[in-house]
Amino acid sequence: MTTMDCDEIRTMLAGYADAELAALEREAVEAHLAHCGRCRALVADQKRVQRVLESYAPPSVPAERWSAMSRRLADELAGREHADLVTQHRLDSLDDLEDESPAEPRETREPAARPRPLRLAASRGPVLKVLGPRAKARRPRFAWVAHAVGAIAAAVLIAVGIATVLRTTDFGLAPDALATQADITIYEIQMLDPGYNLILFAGGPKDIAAVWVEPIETEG
Amino acid sequence: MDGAKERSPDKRAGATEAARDAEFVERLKKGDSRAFDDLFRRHREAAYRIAYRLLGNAEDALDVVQESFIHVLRGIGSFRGQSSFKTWLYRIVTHAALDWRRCRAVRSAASLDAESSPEPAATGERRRSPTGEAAAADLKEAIDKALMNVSEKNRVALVLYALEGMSYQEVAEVLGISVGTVMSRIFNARQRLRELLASEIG
Amino acid sequence: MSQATRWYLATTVLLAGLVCWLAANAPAAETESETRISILAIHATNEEKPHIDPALKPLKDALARSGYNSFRLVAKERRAVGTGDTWERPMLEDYALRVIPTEIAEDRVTLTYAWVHYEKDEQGRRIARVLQQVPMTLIKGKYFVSGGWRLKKGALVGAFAAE
Repeated sequence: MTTMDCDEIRTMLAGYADAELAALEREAVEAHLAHCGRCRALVADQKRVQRVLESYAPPSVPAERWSAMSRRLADELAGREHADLVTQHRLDSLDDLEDESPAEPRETREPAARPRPLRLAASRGPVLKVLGPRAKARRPRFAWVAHAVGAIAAAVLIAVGIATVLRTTDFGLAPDALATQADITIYEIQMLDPGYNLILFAGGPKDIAAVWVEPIETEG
Repeated sequence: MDGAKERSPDKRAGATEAARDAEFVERLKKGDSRAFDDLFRRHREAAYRIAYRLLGNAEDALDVVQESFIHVLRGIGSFRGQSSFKTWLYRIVTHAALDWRRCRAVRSAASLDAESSPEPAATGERRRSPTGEAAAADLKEAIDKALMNVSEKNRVALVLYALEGMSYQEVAEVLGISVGTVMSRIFNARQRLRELLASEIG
Repeated sequence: MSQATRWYLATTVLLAGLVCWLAANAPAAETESETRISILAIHATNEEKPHIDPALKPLKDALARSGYNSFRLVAKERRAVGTGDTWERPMLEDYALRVIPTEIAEDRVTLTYAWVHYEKDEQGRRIARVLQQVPMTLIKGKYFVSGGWRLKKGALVGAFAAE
Protein backbone atom coordinates (compact mmCIF):
# COMPACT_ATOMS: atom_id res chain seq x y z
CA MET A 1 0.00 0.00 0.00
CA THR A 2 1.50 3.29 -1.02
CA THR A 3 1.89 5.94 1.62
CA MET A 4 -0.25 8.96 1.01
CA ASP A 5 0.66 12.58 1.25
CA CYS A 6 -0.90 15.33 3.31
CA ASP A 7 -3.27 16.57 0.64
CA GLU A 8 -4.76 13.16 0.13
CA ILE A 9 -5.02 12.50 3.81
CA ARG A 10 -6.34 15.90 4.75
CA THR A 11 -10.06 15.59 4.43
CA MET A 12 -10.05 12.08 5.80
CA LEU A 13 -8.77 13.57 9.00
CA ALA A 14 -12.28 14.61 9.97
CA GLY A 15 -13.46 11.05 9.59
CA TYR A 16 -10.48 9.83 11.53
CA ALA A 17 -11.11 12.25 14.38
CA ASP A 18 -14.76 11.17 14.49
CA ALA A 19 -14.06 7.45 14.20
CA GLU A 20 -16.12 7.30 11.05
CA LEU A 21 -13.54 5.67 8.84
CA ALA A 22 -13.52 2.05 7.86
CA ALA A 23 -10.65 -0.07 9.03
CA LEU A 24 -8.70 0.23 5.82
CA GLU A 25 -8.82 3.99 5.65
CA ARG A 26 -8.12 4.32 9.30
CA GLU A 27 -4.96 2.31 8.85
CA ALA A 28 -3.92 4.44 5.93
CA VAL A 29 -4.39 7.58 7.99
CA GLU A 30 -2.60 6.15 10.98
CA ALA A 31 0.31 5.22 8.80
CA HIS A 32 0.55 8.78 7.62
CA LEU A 33 0.10 10.31 11.04
CA ALA A 34 2.97 8.25 12.36
CA HIS A 35 5.38 10.51 10.58
CA CYS A 36 3.44 13.72 10.02
CA GLY A 37 3.22 16.18 12.89
CA ARG A 38 1.23 18.67 10.89
CA CYS A 39 -1.58 16.28 10.22
CA ARG A 40 -1.52 15.10 13.81
CA ALA A 41 -2.05 18.71 14.83
CA LEU A 42 -4.95 18.97 12.41
CA VAL A 43 -6.57 15.92 13.95
CA ALA A 44 -6.16 17.45 17.39
CA ASP A 45 -7.78 20.64 16.10
CA GLN A 46 -10.70 18.71 14.66
CA LYS A 47 -11.30 16.90 17.91
CA ARG A 48 -10.98 20.01 20.01
CA VAL A 49 -13.43 22.00 17.93
CA GLN A 50 -15.88 19.12 17.97
CA ARG A 51 -15.64 18.90 21.74
CA VAL A 52 -16.19 22.63 22.11
CA LEU A 53 -19.15 22.54 19.79
CA GLU A 54 -20.73 19.62 21.57
CA SER A 55 -20.03 21.06 24.98
CA TYR A 56 -22.45 23.88 24.71
CA ALA A 57 -26.12 23.55 24.22
CA PRO A 58 -28.34 26.16 22.64
CA PRO A 59 -30.35 28.11 25.19
CA SER A 60 -33.06 25.91 26.59
CA VAL A 61 -36.58 26.62 25.52
CA PRO A 62 -39.13 27.32 28.25
CA ALA A 63 -41.91 24.80 28.35
CA GLU A 64 -44.55 27.43 27.66
CA ARG A 65 -42.99 28.16 24.27
CA TRP A 66 -43.31 24.54 23.31
CA SER A 67 -46.88 24.41 24.60
CA ALA A 68 -47.79 27.50 22.66
CA MET A 69 -46.23 26.09 19.54
CA SER A 70 -47.99 22.81 20.11
CA ARG A 71 -51.30 24.61 20.27
CA ARG A 72 -50.63 26.48 17.07
CA LEU A 73 -49.70 23.31 15.34
CA ALA A 74 -52.84 21.65 16.63
CA ASP A 75 -54.81 24.47 15.05
CA GLU A 76 -52.98 23.92 11.82
CA LEU A 77 -53.75 20.25 11.93
CA ALA A 78 -57.38 20.98 12.59
CA GLY A 79 -57.36 23.16 9.52
CA ARG A 80 -57.64 26.55 11.11
CA GLU A 81 -55.13 29.14 10.08
CA HIS A 82 -53.64 30.86 13.05
CA ALA A 83 -53.38 34.59 13.12
CA ASP A 84 -50.19 35.02 14.99
CA LEU A 85 -47.73 33.20 12.84
CA VAL A 86 -44.82 35.56 12.84
CA THR A 87 -44.18 35.92 9.20
CA GLN A 88 -45.82 34.18 6.34
CA HIS A 89 -42.80 32.55 4.95
CA ARG A 90 -42.25 31.23 1.51
CA LEU A 91 -42.84 27.58 2.02
CA ASP A 92 -43.61 26.88 -1.62
CA SER A 93 -39.94 26.62 -2.33
CA LEU A 94 -39.89 23.62 -0.05
CA ASP A 95 -42.88 21.93 -1.64
CA ASP A 96 -40.92 19.62 -3.87
CA LEU A 97 -38.76 18.29 -1.10
CA GLU A 98 -40.83 15.37 0.12
CA ASP A 99 -38.36 12.62 0.27
CA GLU A 100 -36.35 13.56 -2.74
CA SER A 101 -32.98 14.89 -1.86
CA PRO A 102 -32.65 18.63 -2.35
CA ALA A 103 -31.12 19.83 -5.59
CA GLU A 104 -27.59 20.31 -4.44
CA PRO A 105 -25.44 22.07 -6.97
CA ARG A 106 -23.15 19.49 -8.30
CA GLU A 107 -19.80 19.44 -6.57
CA THR A 108 -17.42 20.72 -9.17
CA ARG A 109 -14.53 19.35 -7.28
CA GLU A 110 -14.31 17.41 -4.15
CA PRO A 111 -10.90 18.13 -2.78
CA ALA A 112 -9.20 14.81 -3.19
CA ALA A 113 -12.07 12.98 -1.53
CA ARG A 114 -13.10 11.11 -4.62
CA PRO A 115 -9.81 10.15 -6.18
CA ARG A 116 -8.71 8.64 -2.92
CA PRO A 117 -11.00 5.66 -2.70
CA LEU A 118 -10.00 4.63 -6.17
CA ARG A 119 -6.40 4.32 -5.07
CA LEU A 120 -7.20 2.12 -2.16
CA ALA A 121 -9.92 0.30 -4.00
CA ALA A 122 -7.46 -0.64 -6.69
CA SER A 123 -6.64 -3.56 -4.52
CA ARG A 124 -9.66 -3.80 -2.24
CA GLY A 125 -13.22 -3.45 -3.38
CA PRO A 126 -15.18 -2.78 -0.19
CA VAL A 127 -13.46 0.53 0.54
CA LEU A 128 -15.08 2.17 -2.42
CA LYS A 129 -18.47 1.22 -1.12
CA VAL A 130 -17.83 2.68 2.28
CA LEU A 131 -16.58 6.02 1.10
CA GLY A 132 -19.03 6.67 -1.62
CA PRO A 133 -22.33 4.99 -1.06
CA ARG A 134 -25.32 6.14 -2.95
CA ALA A 135 -26.71 8.51 -0.39
CA LYS A 136 -29.63 9.58 -2.57
CA ALA A 137 -32.96 7.94 -1.93
CA ARG A 138 -33.74 5.15 -4.30
CA ARG A 139 -35.33 6.30 -7.51
CA PRO A 140 -39.09 5.87 -7.67
CA ARG A 141 -39.95 2.45 -8.82
CA PHE A 142 -42.79 3.64 -10.98
CA ALA A 143 -41.65 5.15 -14.23
CA TRP A 144 -45.00 6.77 -14.79
CA VAL A 145 -44.37 9.13 -11.92
CA ALA A 146 -41.33 10.47 -13.72
CA HIS A 147 -43.32 10.72 -16.94
CA ALA A 148 -46.15 12.54 -15.23
CA VAL A 149 -43.73 14.98 -13.70
CA GLY A 150 -42.18 15.55 -17.09
CA ALA A 151 -45.57 16.14 -18.64
CA ILE A 152 -46.51 18.62 -15.94
CA ALA A 153 -43.21 20.43 -16.30
CA ALA A 154 -43.72 20.66 -20.03
CA ALA A 155 -47.25 21.90 -19.52
CA VAL A 156 -46.12 24.56 -17.10
CA LEU A 157 -43.42 25.75 -19.48
CA ILE A 158 -45.88 25.95 -22.33
CA ALA A 159 -48.40 27.73 -20.17
CA VAL A 160 -45.89 30.24 -18.96
CA GLY A 161 -44.83 30.88 -22.52
CA ILE A 162 -48.41 31.41 -23.64
CA ALA A 163 -49.28 33.53 -20.65
CA THR A 164 -46.29 35.72 -21.23
CA VAL A 165 -47.17 36.26 -24.84
CA LEU A 166 -50.82 36.90 -24.11
CA ARG A 167 -50.13 39.49 -21.52
CA THR A 168 -49.66 43.10 -22.58
CA THR A 169 -46.12 43.92 -23.55
CA ASP A 170 -45.54 45.90 -20.43
CA PHE A 171 -45.53 43.19 -17.85
CA GLY A 172 -43.46 45.26 -15.52
CA LEU A 173 -45.87 46.07 -12.76
CA ALA A 174 -48.79 44.04 -11.74
CA PRO A 175 -51.01 45.56 -10.54
CA ASP A 176 -50.34 48.61 -12.65
CA ALA A 177 -52.60 51.27 -11.25
CA LEU A 178 -52.00 54.09 -8.86
CA ALA A 179 -54.33 54.65 -5.97
CA THR A 180 -56.30 57.87 -5.96
CA GLN A 181 -57.62 59.67 -2.98
CA ALA A 182 -60.89 57.81 -3.34
CA ASP A 183 -59.08 54.51 -3.01
CA ILE A 184 -57.57 55.12 0.36
CA THR A 185 -58.62 55.99 3.85
CA ILE A 186 -55.92 57.03 6.21
CA TYR A 187 -56.82 56.78 9.87
CA GLU A 188 -53.75 58.21 11.40
CA ILE A 189 -50.20 59.11 10.53
CA GLN A 190 -47.76 58.74 13.34
CA MET A 191 -44.67 60.69 12.46
CA LEU A 192 -42.12 59.45 14.89
CA ASP A 193 -39.02 60.94 13.37
CA PRO A 194 -38.57 64.56 14.30
CA GLY A 195 -36.34 65.24 11.38
CA TYR A 196 -39.07 65.15 8.79
CA ASN A 197 -42.07 67.13 7.71
CA LEU A 198 -45.13 65.30 6.55
CA ILE A 199 -46.60 66.05 3.17
CA LEU A 200 -49.63 64.46 1.67
CA PHE A 201 -50.24 64.39 -2.00
CA ALA A 202 -53.91 64.71 -2.33
CA GLY A 203 -56.44 66.86 -4.01
CA GLY A 204 -59.71 66.24 -5.70
CA PRO A 205 -61.21 62.78 -6.08
CA LYS A 206 -59.26 62.17 -9.21
CA ASP A 207 -56.01 63.17 -7.73
CA ILE A 208 -53.43 60.67 -6.66
CA ALA A 209 -52.86 59.98 -3.01
CA ALA A 210 -49.49 59.44 -1.42
CA VAL A 211 -47.68 60.15 1.79
CA TRP A 212 -44.45 61.99 1.47
CA VAL A 213 -41.94 63.26 3.93
CA GLU A 214 -39.34 65.94 3.57
CA PRO A 215 -36.32 66.33 5.78
CA ILE A 216 -36.33 69.45 7.86
CA GLU A 217 -33.21 71.23 6.70
CA THR A 218 -30.95 72.14 9.55
CA GLU A 219 -28.23 74.71 9.43
CA GLY A 220 -24.81 73.70 8.27
CA MET B 1 -8.70 7.71 19.63
CA ASP B 2 -9.23 9.50 22.88
CA GLY B 3 -12.26 11.65 23.30
CA ALA B 4 -13.89 10.59 20.06
CA LYS B 5 -17.58 10.59 20.73
CA GLU B 6 -19.48 7.38 20.43
CA ARG B 7 -21.23 8.00 17.22
CA SER B 8 -23.15 4.90 16.37
CA PRO B 9 -23.55 3.07 19.61
CA ASP B 10 -27.23 2.49 19.53
CA LYS B 11 -28.01 1.34 16.04
CA ARG B 12 -30.78 -0.76 17.43
CA ALA B 13 -32.30 2.18 19.28
CA GLY B 14 -32.10 4.17 16.10
CA ALA B 15 -33.92 1.47 14.20
CA THR B 16 -36.61 1.23 16.84
CA GLU B 17 -37.11 4.95 16.76
CA ALA B 18 -37.37 4.95 13.01
CA ALA B 19 -39.96 2.21 13.13
CA ARG B 20 -41.93 4.11 15.70
CA ASP B 21 -41.76 7.27 13.64
CA ALA B 22 -43.01 5.38 10.61
CA GLU B 23 -45.96 4.09 12.56
CA PHE B 24 -46.87 7.51 13.81
CA VAL B 25 -46.50 8.97 10.34
CA GLU B 26 -49.08 6.49 9.12
CA ARG B 27 -51.41 7.51 11.88
CA LEU B 28 -50.80 11.16 11.22
CA LYS B 29 -51.70 10.71 7.59
CA LYS B 30 -55.08 9.63 8.82
CA GLY B 31 -55.34 12.77 10.89
CA ASP B 32 -54.40 11.41 14.29
CA SER B 33 -53.41 14.48 16.25
CA ARG B 34 -51.91 12.50 19.09
CA ALA B 35 -49.52 10.89 16.68
CA PHE B 36 -48.41 14.32 15.65
CA ASP B 37 -48.01 15.40 19.27
CA ASP B 38 -45.72 12.49 19.79
CA LEU B 39 -43.63 13.20 16.71
CA PHE B 40 -43.43 16.84 17.64
CA ARG B 41 -42.39 16.14 21.18
CA ARG B 42 -39.70 13.72 20.19
CA HIS B 43 -38.15 15.75 17.40
CA ARG B 44 -38.62 19.35 18.36
CA GLU B 45 -35.41 19.68 20.34
CA ALA B 46 -33.31 18.40 17.52
CA ALA B 47 -35.11 20.66 15.08
CA TYR B 48 -34.51 23.56 17.39
CA ARG B 49 -30.84 22.76 17.70
CA ILE B 50 -30.38 22.64 13.97
CA ALA B 51 -32.18 25.92 13.49
CA TYR B 52 -30.42 27.57 16.38
CA ARG B 53 -26.98 26.63 15.20
CA LEU B 54 -27.77 27.74 11.70
CA LEU B 55 -29.33 31.05 12.69
CA GLY B 56 -27.52 32.00 15.85
CA ASN B 57 -30.51 33.13 17.85
CA ALA B 58 -33.33 31.40 19.64
CA GLU B 59 -36.27 33.47 18.47
CA ASP B 60 -35.64 32.88 14.81
CA ALA B 61 -34.86 29.27 15.56
CA LEU B 62 -38.24 28.78 17.20
CA ASP B 63 -39.99 30.46 14.30
CA VAL B 64 -38.23 28.13 11.92
CA VAL B 65 -39.12 25.10 14.02
CA GLN B 66 -42.76 26.08 13.94
CA GLU B 67 -42.74 26.63 10.22
CA SER B 68 -40.99 23.35 9.68
CA PHE B 69 -43.59 21.41 11.58
CA ILE B 70 -46.34 23.24 9.77
CA HIS B 71 -44.68 22.19 6.57
CA VAL B 72 -44.60 18.65 7.88
CA LEU B 73 -48.34 18.82 8.48
CA ARG B 74 -49.01 20.20 5.06
CA GLY B 75 -46.78 17.75 3.31
CA ILE B 76 -47.49 14.61 5.28
CA GLY B 77 -50.02 13.45 2.76
CA SER B 78 -47.43 13.19 0.04
CA PHE B 79 -44.63 11.88 2.21
CA ARG B 80 -43.90 8.48 0.81
CA GLY B 81 -41.56 7.25 3.50
CA GLN B 82 -38.64 6.61 1.18
CA SER B 83 -36.44 8.36 3.66
CA SER B 84 -37.03 8.24 7.35
CA PHE B 85 -39.22 10.86 8.98
CA LYS B 86 -36.23 12.19 10.84
CA THR B 87 -34.25 12.66 7.66
CA TRP B 88 -37.17 14.39 6.02
CA LEU B 89 -37.74 16.67 8.98
CA TYR B 90 -34.08 17.61 9.26
CA ARG B 91 -34.04 18.41 5.58
CA ILE B 92 -37.06 20.68 5.97
CA VAL B 93 -35.60 22.44 8.98
CA THR B 94 -32.27 22.95 7.24
CA HIS B 95 -33.86 24.46 4.18
CA ALA B 96 -36.24 26.58 6.21
CA ALA B 97 -33.39 27.94 8.30
CA LEU B 98 -31.23 28.74 5.31
CA ASP B 99 -34.16 30.27 3.48
CA TRP B 100 -35.01 32.34 6.52
CA ARG B 101 -31.54 33.66 6.72
CA ARG B 102 -31.45 34.46 3.04
CA CYS B 103 -34.70 36.40 3.12
CA ARG B 104 -33.64 38.39 6.12
CA ALA B 105 -30.26 39.17 4.71
CA VAL B 106 -31.59 40.38 1.40
CA ARG B 107 -29.94 43.48 0.13
CA SER B 108 -31.33 44.89 -3.08
CA ALA B 109 -29.62 43.10 -5.90
CA ALA B 110 -29.31 46.36 -7.76
CA SER B 111 -27.51 48.11 -4.97
CA LEU B 112 -27.02 51.72 -5.81
CA ASP B 113 -23.54 52.98 -5.25
CA ALA B 114 -20.54 51.01 -4.23
CA GLU B 115 -20.45 52.61 -0.82
CA SER B 116 -24.10 52.17 0.05
CA SER B 117 -24.88 50.19 3.13
CA PRO B 118 -22.49 47.27 3.38
CA GLU B 119 -24.09 45.24 6.13
CA PRO B 120 -26.74 42.69 5.28
CA ALA B 121 -30.06 43.57 6.90
CA ALA B 122 -29.79 40.85 9.53
CA THR B 123 -33.02 42.10 10.94
CA GLY B 124 -33.49 39.39 13.48
CA GLU B 125 -30.05 38.06 13.99
CA ARG B 126 -28.87 40.13 16.86
CA ARG B 127 -31.75 39.62 19.19
CA ARG B 128 -30.72 38.20 22.50
CA SER B 129 -31.82 34.69 23.27
CA PRO B 130 -34.64 34.65 25.79
CA THR B 131 -32.75 32.74 28.44
CA GLY B 132 -29.27 34.18 27.95
CA GLU B 133 -27.00 32.42 30.34
CA ALA B 134 -24.44 34.54 32.09
CA ALA B 135 -21.84 31.91 32.77
CA ALA B 136 -20.26 30.67 29.56
CA ALA B 137 -22.10 33.36 27.64
CA ASP B 138 -19.02 34.81 26.04
CA LEU B 139 -17.80 31.54 24.64
CA LYS B 140 -21.23 30.55 23.46
CA GLU B 141 -21.71 33.86 21.75
CA ALA B 142 -18.29 33.56 20.19
CA ILE B 143 -19.18 30.12 18.90
CA ASP B 144 -22.51 31.32 17.53
CA LYS B 145 -20.86 34.19 15.78
CA ALA B 146 -18.05 32.06 14.47
CA LEU B 147 -20.53 29.55 13.10
CA MET B 148 -22.15 32.30 11.12
CA ASN B 149 -18.84 32.94 9.48
CA VAL B 150 -18.45 29.43 8.22
CA SER B 151 -19.67 29.05 4.69
CA GLU B 152 -23.21 27.76 4.49
CA LYS B 153 -22.53 24.38 2.97
CA ASN B 154 -19.87 23.54 5.48
CA ARG B 155 -21.83 24.91 8.38
CA VAL B 156 -24.91 22.88 7.57
CA ALA B 157 -22.93 19.64 7.45
CA LEU B 158 -21.27 20.36 10.77
CA VAL B 159 -24.45 21.48 12.49
CA LEU B 160 -26.26 18.33 11.47
CA TYR B 161 -23.40 16.12 12.49
CA ALA B 162 -23.14 17.83 15.87
CA LEU B 163 -26.59 16.57 16.74
CA GLU B 164 -26.61 13.58 18.95
CA GLY B 165 -26.62 10.28 17.23
CA MET B 166 -26.02 11.56 13.74
CA SER B 167 -23.49 9.76 11.62
CA TYR B 168 -21.85 10.89 8.41
CA GLN B 169 -24.17 8.54 6.59
CA GLU B 170 -27.26 10.12 8.06
CA VAL B 171 -26.01 13.62 7.37
CA ALA B 172 -25.32 12.52 3.81
CA GLU B 173 -28.90 11.30 3.52
CA VAL B 174 -30.38 14.51 4.80
CA LEU B 175 -28.37 16.65 2.45
CA GLY B 176 -28.41 14.33 -0.52
CA ILE B 177 -24.65 14.28 -0.90
CA SER B 178 -21.98 11.63 -0.56
CA VAL B 179 -20.33 10.68 2.69
CA GLY B 180 -17.01 11.90 1.30
CA THR B 181 -18.49 15.32 0.72
CA VAL B 182 -19.92 15.36 4.22
CA MET B 183 -16.52 14.55 5.58
CA SER B 184 -14.70 17.25 3.67
CA ARG B 185 -17.32 19.86 4.55
CA ILE B 186 -17.13 18.99 8.22
CA PHE B 187 -13.37 19.15 8.02
CA ASN B 188 -13.45 22.59 6.45
CA ALA B 189 -16.06 23.86 8.87
CA ARG B 190 -14.06 22.82 11.87
CA GLN B 191 -10.86 24.22 10.45
CA ARG B 192 -12.56 27.53 9.94
CA LEU B 193 -13.97 27.49 13.46
CA ARG B 194 -10.55 26.70 14.76
CA GLU B 195 -9.19 29.79 13.04
CA LEU B 196 -12.01 32.00 14.23
CA LEU B 197 -11.99 30.77 17.80
CA ALA B 198 -8.23 30.65 18.15
CA SER B 199 -8.25 33.17 20.95
CA GLU B 200 -11.10 31.52 22.83
CA ILE B 201 -10.03 27.95 22.72
CA GLY B 202 -6.29 28.34 22.49
CA MET C 1 -48.77 7.46 -32.05
CA SER C 2 -48.93 5.13 -29.12
CA GLN C 3 -51.64 5.21 -26.55
CA ALA C 4 -49.24 6.49 -23.92
CA THR C 5 -48.01 9.33 -26.11
CA ARG C 6 -51.55 10.40 -26.87
CA TRP C 7 -52.29 10.38 -23.19
CA TYR C 8 -49.27 12.49 -22.38
CA LEU C 9 -50.14 14.97 -25.09
CA ALA C 10 -53.71 15.31 -23.90
CA THR C 11 -52.60 15.75 -20.33
CA THR C 12 -50.03 18.33 -21.31
CA VAL C 13 -52.56 20.37 -23.28
CA LEU C 14 -55.14 20.15 -20.52
CA LEU C 15 -52.64 21.11 -17.88
CA ALA C 16 -51.35 23.94 -20.01
CA GLY C 17 -54.86 25.26 -20.32
CA LEU C 18 -55.45 24.90 -16.64
CA VAL C 19 -52.25 26.65 -15.68
CA CYS C 20 -53.00 29.44 -18.14
CA TRP C 21 -56.38 29.94 -16.61
CA LEU C 22 -54.92 29.95 -13.13
CA ALA C 23 -52.28 32.43 -14.11
CA ALA C 24 -54.91 34.76 -15.47
CA ASN C 25 -57.11 34.58 -12.44
CA ALA C 26 -56.53 35.00 -8.78
CA PRO C 27 -54.84 31.89 -7.48
CA ALA C 28 -57.18 29.49 -5.76
CA ALA C 29 -55.02 29.38 -2.68
CA GLU C 30 -55.97 32.89 -1.65
CA THR C 31 -58.67 33.18 0.95
CA GLU C 32 -59.96 36.16 2.81
CA SER C 33 -57.48 35.53 5.54
CA GLU C 34 -54.61 36.16 3.23
CA THR C 35 -53.79 38.73 0.62
CA ARG C 36 -51.03 39.09 -1.93
CA ILE C 37 -48.97 42.18 -1.26
CA SER C 38 -46.52 43.68 -3.73
CA ILE C 39 -43.84 45.99 -2.47
CA LEU C 40 -41.59 48.16 -4.58
CA ALA C 41 -38.42 49.91 -3.54
CA ILE C 42 -37.67 52.96 -5.64
CA HIS C 43 -34.67 55.20 -5.64
CA ALA C 44 -35.48 58.78 -6.46
CA THR C 45 -32.78 61.20 -7.51
CA ASN C 46 -32.31 64.39 -9.39
CA GLU C 47 -30.33 63.87 -12.55
CA GLU C 48 -29.36 65.97 -15.47
CA LYS C 49 -31.11 63.56 -17.73
CA PRO C 50 -34.41 62.64 -16.11
CA HIS C 51 -35.11 58.96 -16.34
CA ILE C 52 -37.88 56.79 -15.04
CA ASP C 53 -37.78 53.01 -15.19
CA PRO C 54 -40.34 51.84 -17.73
CA ALA C 55 -41.79 49.52 -15.11
CA LEU C 56 -42.64 52.53 -12.95
CA LYS C 57 -44.73 54.29 -15.58
CA PRO C 58 -48.02 53.55 -13.79
CA LEU C 59 -46.74 55.43 -10.76
CA LYS C 60 -45.40 58.35 -12.71
CA ASP C 61 -47.98 60.83 -11.48
CA ALA C 62 -47.25 60.26 -7.86
CA LEU C 63 -43.52 60.15 -8.35
CA ALA C 64 -43.49 63.32 -10.40
CA ARG C 65 -44.89 65.29 -7.51
CA SER C 66 -42.09 64.28 -5.26
CA GLY C 67 -39.64 66.87 -6.40
CA TYR C 68 -37.27 64.36 -7.92
CA ASN C 69 -36.93 63.73 -11.60
CA SER C 70 -35.41 60.26 -11.90
CA PHE C 71 -36.70 57.02 -10.51
CA ARG C 72 -35.18 53.61 -10.52
CA LEU C 73 -36.95 50.46 -9.45
CA VAL C 74 -34.50 48.79 -7.14
CA ALA C 75 -36.49 45.91 -5.75
CA LYS C 76 -39.83 44.32 -6.25
CA GLU C 77 -41.37 41.51 -4.34
CA ARG C 78 -44.74 39.95 -4.03
CA ARG C 79 -45.78 37.78 -1.20
CA ALA C 80 -48.88 36.35 0.40
CA VAL C 81 -49.49 37.80 3.83
CA GLY C 82 -52.15 36.73 6.27
CA THR C 83 -54.08 38.93 8.64
CA GLY C 84 -51.98 39.76 11.61
CA ASP C 85 -48.79 38.73 9.90
CA THR C 86 -46.01 41.21 9.51
CA TRP C 87 -44.04 41.38 6.34
CA GLU C 88 -40.93 43.42 6.78
CA ARG C 89 -39.22 44.06 3.50
CA PRO C 90 -35.72 45.51 3.59
CA MET C 91 -35.43 48.50 1.31
CA LEU C 92 -32.29 50.56 0.90
CA GLU C 93 -29.61 51.67 3.31
CA ASP C 94 -31.00 50.15 6.49
CA TYR C 95 -34.57 51.21 5.82
CA ALA C 96 -37.33 48.67 5.80
CA LEU C 97 -41.04 48.76 5.12
CA ARG C 98 -43.43 46.77 7.22
CA VAL C 99 -46.89 45.88 6.05
CA ILE C 100 -49.38 44.30 8.42
CA PRO C 101 -52.81 43.50 7.01
CA THR C 102 -55.46 43.54 9.70
CA GLU C 103 -58.65 43.04 7.71
CA ILE C 104 -59.06 41.63 4.28
CA ALA C 105 -62.30 42.23 2.44
CA GLU C 106 -63.21 41.33 -1.09
CA ASP C 107 -62.17 44.61 -2.61
CA ARG C 108 -60.01 46.30 -0.03
CA VAL C 109 -57.50 45.68 2.66
CA THR C 110 -57.12 47.42 5.99
CA LEU C 111 -53.53 47.45 7.02
CA THR C 112 -50.89 49.26 8.93
CA TYR C 113 -47.65 50.10 7.31
CA ALA C 114 -44.56 51.34 9.04
CA TRP C 115 -41.23 52.63 7.94
CA VAL C 116 -38.36 51.50 10.12
CA HIS C 117 -34.72 52.36 10.12
CA TYR C 118 -32.05 50.08 11.49
CA GLU C 119 -29.48 51.73 13.69
CA LYS C 120 -27.12 50.97 16.52
CA ASP C 121 -28.16 51.87 20.03
CA GLU C 122 -25.83 53.02 22.81
CA GLN C 123 -24.66 49.48 23.43
CA GLY C 124 -23.88 49.05 19.80
CA ARG C 125 -26.77 46.67 19.23
CA ARG C 126 -28.74 46.78 16.06
CA ILE C 127 -32.27 48.05 16.64
CA ALA C 128 -35.18 49.07 14.50
CA ARG C 129 -36.47 52.60 14.94
CA VAL C 130 -39.96 53.24 13.70
CA LEU C 131 -40.11 56.43 11.68
CA GLN C 132 -43.70 56.47 10.60
CA GLN C 133 -46.68 54.30 11.22
CA VAL C 134 -49.92 54.56 9.35
CA PRO C 135 -53.10 52.54 9.70
CA MET C 136 -55.12 52.83 6.54
CA THR C 137 -57.45 51.12 4.15
CA LEU C 138 -56.46 50.57 0.56
CA ILE C 139 -58.44 49.37 -2.41
CA LYS C 140 -57.08 46.15 -3.85
CA GLY C 141 -55.20 46.39 -7.08
CA LYS C 142 -53.75 49.87 -6.74
CA TYR C 143 -50.40 51.08 -5.59
CA PHE C 144 -50.06 53.38 -2.67
CA VAL C 145 -46.92 55.49 -2.61
CA SER C 146 -45.10 56.56 0.52
CA GLY C 147 -41.60 57.86 0.79
CA GLY C 148 -39.16 60.68 0.86
CA TRP C 149 -36.59 59.16 3.18
CA ARG C 150 -33.25 60.76 2.72
CA LEU C 151 -30.51 58.51 1.41
CA LYS C 152 -26.85 59.21 0.81
CA LYS C 153 -27.96 60.31 -2.59
CA GLY C 154 -31.56 61.07 -3.38
CA ALA C 155 -34.49 59.59 -1.54
CA LEU C 156 -36.16 56.27 -0.91
CA VAL C 157 -39.69 55.75 -2.08
CA GLY C 158 -41.84 52.77 -1.36
CA ALA C 159 -44.98 51.60 -3.04
CA PHE C 160 -47.25 48.76 -2.12
CA ALA C 161 -50.43 47.22 -3.37
CA ALA C 162 -52.69 44.44 -2.23
CA GLU C 163 -54.55 41.91 -4.30
